[in-house]
Order: sequence, then structure tokens, then C-alpha cells
Amino acid sequence: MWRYLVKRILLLVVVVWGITVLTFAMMNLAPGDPAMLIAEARYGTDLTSEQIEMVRAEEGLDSGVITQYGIWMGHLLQGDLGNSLVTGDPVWQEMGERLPATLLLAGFTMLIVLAVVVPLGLLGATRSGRWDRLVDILAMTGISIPNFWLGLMFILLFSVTLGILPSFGMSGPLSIILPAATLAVPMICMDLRLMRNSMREVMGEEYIYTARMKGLDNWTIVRRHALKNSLLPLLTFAGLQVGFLLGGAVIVETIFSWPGIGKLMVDSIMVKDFALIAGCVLLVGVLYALVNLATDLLYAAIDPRVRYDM
Amino acid sequence: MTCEEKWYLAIRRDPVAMFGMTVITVVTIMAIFAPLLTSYDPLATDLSIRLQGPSWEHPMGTDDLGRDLLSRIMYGAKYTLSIAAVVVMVSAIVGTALGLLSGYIGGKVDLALMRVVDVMLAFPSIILALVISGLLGSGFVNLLIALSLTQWPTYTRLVRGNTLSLKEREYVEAARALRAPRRWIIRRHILPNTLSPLLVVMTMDVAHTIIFAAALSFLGLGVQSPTPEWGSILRSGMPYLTTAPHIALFAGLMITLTVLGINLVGSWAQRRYDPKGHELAEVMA
Repeated sequence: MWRYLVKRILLLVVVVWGITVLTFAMMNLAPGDPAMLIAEARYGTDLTSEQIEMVRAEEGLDSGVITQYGIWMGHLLQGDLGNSLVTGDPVWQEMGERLPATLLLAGFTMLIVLAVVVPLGLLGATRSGRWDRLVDILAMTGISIPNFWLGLMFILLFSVTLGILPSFGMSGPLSIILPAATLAVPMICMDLRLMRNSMREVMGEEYIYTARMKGLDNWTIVRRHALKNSLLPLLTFAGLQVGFLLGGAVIVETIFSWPGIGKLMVDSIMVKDFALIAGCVLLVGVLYALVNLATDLLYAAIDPRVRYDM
Repeated sequence: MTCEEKWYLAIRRDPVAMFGMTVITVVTIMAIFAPLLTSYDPLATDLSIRLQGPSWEHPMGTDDLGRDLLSRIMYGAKYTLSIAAVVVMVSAIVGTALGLLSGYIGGKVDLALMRVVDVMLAFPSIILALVISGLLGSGFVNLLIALSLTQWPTYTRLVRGNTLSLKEREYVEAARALRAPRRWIIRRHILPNTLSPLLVVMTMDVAHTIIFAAALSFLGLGVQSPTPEWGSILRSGMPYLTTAPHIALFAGLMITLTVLGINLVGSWAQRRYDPKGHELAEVMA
């Protein structure tokens, strides 16, 4: 177990380092002179060449790419992500202000998803045939509806036509419902299928057969034996779910003007605020990598059958 | 696979997959024959008839500049399908080549390539696509670049895994023992046996590239107005959600239907050709 742990953490360090390289590389993708873009963000479009050169020297943009990466990485290791090119506030502070909203949205979405999927998954555990077909078609539909359209249709129905739910911003407890529902619908459709598959696998195991031989009824078997074991394979997809949430949040937060990291990222892309974009990308990448590590470790800790020799 | 039933005969027995196939066919016909199917110019504006709801003259209504929405959607199919086709082809070819290389040669090449793949997959791919296309700037070609750059790692990981297990099969070992050249083994034994799962993933990837492309255009980063790409039509309908909801409704409905059609065929293909394959959700992340 310890060997596995150390190995996984080393791997995480490599991946996180890779994330910084990728982030830095992407920031260099933008066409045009970065010094000019930064200067434009800072002083407006009326620029003198002195201003551009001043920015170039200040930001270390007059040295080679490797040196620039070194400087950037040096700041990063000291916990300095730089300042937003637009507001001038530290990137950390900007992200810190937005992170709680995203976590709230993600947490609430997960709650909705679990509240729907677990009971339905249990109900469907001993059924097959028509239920199977329904779950498959639901899963397909769920991944086929673009979340940006679903969000708009929710706004159209619940805010415009019925006028019962707010569609904009973060004002009062009701305003979380539509963005969370938009994120939750495709996840529910997908998770129902995951849960069905893992339930089916577990229901074919020998200990279920034994329980049946003891004369236990279906419901008791599902509740006492199958449920816990079928949640285990679902854990494998926890990382995936977080990925889905993070990716979805970018679009859903933008539609609903939810003041989270996703909206911050899109906004900073629109104004080419490089420091802020880099910060958001790093945050998402590291968060996602950590969740994946945590999932694997948790999985290994819960299921004694998992082998550590990878 | 020679003695098996042809796929176009087999698919007829599955009504759900057949529905998907029909949708794909209709959208493809729209993409190719749009100029013959409608007499309206998708770019011709007429402010006197702006924001009209569906009618006999304009079955899907008109947009904010009085353009016929149905004709815009028909012409838009061309953009949507060609973006998806190019991106999936490019990323599948590049990804497969790297996967074969990584899996067959192994060693340091494999180690290095897999770490790159790990890093790429350390992000939800929509976020990478968003950042890259945002930094490159909007436009058709930049959208293609951004999406291709983010999609290849999925293929590399899939093909590498398959190559690793195929490499140990007896017939490959036999070919190696006979001193068959490496390139011949890869072309003759490894690649053909990787093709089924590869095609299944490619089908699903077309669906998900359509969503990504539309999402980026919707955010204003991909294809720009007045080009009638579905995502950008949806974007242009957003300010009129209260007064003329039909613009957003029809544009989004077309995206959803097309993606659903492709996914239904993809899932049918998976059941048929790659039954032990990957969980659907893994392909989507």
C-alpha cells in the first residue's frame, strides 16, 4: 500500500509539472506580441512604443522562452500567480472569491444527482428488459443534449414562461436551482446507466446467489448485499463526474451568470487576461488531478481486491 | 468479418439505431444539397420580416435580421458536419499513429508519450478546447486546430492499450519469429485488429465534437456570425429568447437531434463490434 501511495504521489508531481508546462505553452499560442496585448489590457489601445517596451522589460518578455518559463515557474513556486491584467488584483484573490460559488454549485448538483440516481438504480436493480432499454435511451439522450441549449430551454420554460425561477446571477437560494438542474440532467441520465451496469454485474456474483439460496427476498438482497458493492464501481467514475462538472460549469455558469470559476475563465478568455487564464487553467488541472488521485486511493483503500502493483 | 451480415442490413433490425441512421442521412443530405432544398439565401437580410415565428413561407421563422431560419439551418449542416469530420479524422490519425508507436516500441518513447497524454487528459477536454481557441482567436480554421489539439490523446490511449495486448498474441509472435519487419506487423496484424473499437470511438467522437464546436461558437469563440453554423445561430438567438424563442429552440433542437442520431448509431455499433469496449461515459469525458 505504501509503495503504491508513494508511486501515485510521484506520478501526481510529474503530471502537475506537465500541467504547468502545458499552461505556459498555451499562453504562448496567442498570435501577436504578448507585450503589446498586456499593454493594451493595462493602458488601453492608445499605446506608445515606450509603454510596450516598458511592459516587455517588466514582464521579462525580452528573454527566451525557456527563461520566461523559469521566471514564471519561480513565481509560481512561491505561490505567486501574478496579477490580473485587467483589474490589477492578485490572481489568487480573484479566484478565491469565485471558487466558493463553483463548489456550491457542484455540491448541490451532486446532491440532486445522488438523490435521483440511487433510489432509481435500486428500483431498477432487479428489473431488466424494458427498464434496460429505457435506461439506455435515457443515457443516450442525456449525453446528446448540449448543456448550453438545455440551460436556455430551462430559462425559457421556468423563468420566461412560468416566471417561477430566477435565471440570472446568485441572488437568493432559488437561483441555484436552474444552473444545478442543467448540470444534473445529463449526469443523472449517464449515472443511471453506470449504476445499472454495476448492479447487474454484482447481482451475478456468487454471494448474491448464496443469499438467494438462504431464502432472502429480492429487496433485502439488494439492500444488504448488492448496494454497497455496486457503489464501488461507481467510485471509478467519480473522477469522470468531477470532470463533467468542471467542464459543464464553464458553460452553465456563463449562461446563468453564476459568479464561479467557470465564468471567470470564460470572461478572462474574452478579454485575453493571460495571468487570470493561466491561473484558472492551473487550478482546474490540479483540482482534477487531485480528485483522480483521491479516487484511486479511496478505491484501493475500500476494496481489498484491488492490487497495488501498477 | 467477411462472412458476417453486412452492417446496413443488420442495422435495420434495430429500430432505435435505424432512427439514428435516418437522422444522419437527412442531415447529410441537407449539408450537401442545401442550395437545392431551399430557395432562400441564408445570408440575405430583410428587416421588414425580422423575428417572425414559424409560418408557411418560413417554416422555422426568421431571425433578427429577417433571414430565413430553415435555410440557415440547412446551410449550417455543412459547417457542423465538416468541422466534425475534419477534427475526428485528424485527431484519429495522429492519435492512432502515436498510440501504435507508443504501444509497439515501448520503452522511453512510451513513457514520455504517456505522460504527455496524462497531462492532456488531466483537463476536461472542453476546457482545453475553450482556452486554446480563445487564445488563437475565433474563426473556422482556429476552431479546427483547437478541437484537434484536444481530441488526439483519447485515441492514443485506446490504440496503445490495444497494441500492448495484441503484441503478445501468438500470431504476432509468430510473425516476429519469422523476422517480419516491424512496420509490416503493425500494418498487417495490429492495426486491423484495432479498427473496430477505433471506429466505435470515432463515431461517438463525431457526436461530441459537434457539441464542442457548437459550444465554442455559442460562446463567441468558434465560427462567427453571419456564417450559419448551428452554435452561432443559437448565440444570435439568445438576446431574443423572450421575444423570438424559436431561433434558439430550432437551432438547439437540430444540434441535439443530430448528436443523438450519431450516438444511437455509435452505441449500436459498440454493441455489435466492440461489446467488451469502453464505458460510454469514458468516451464522453
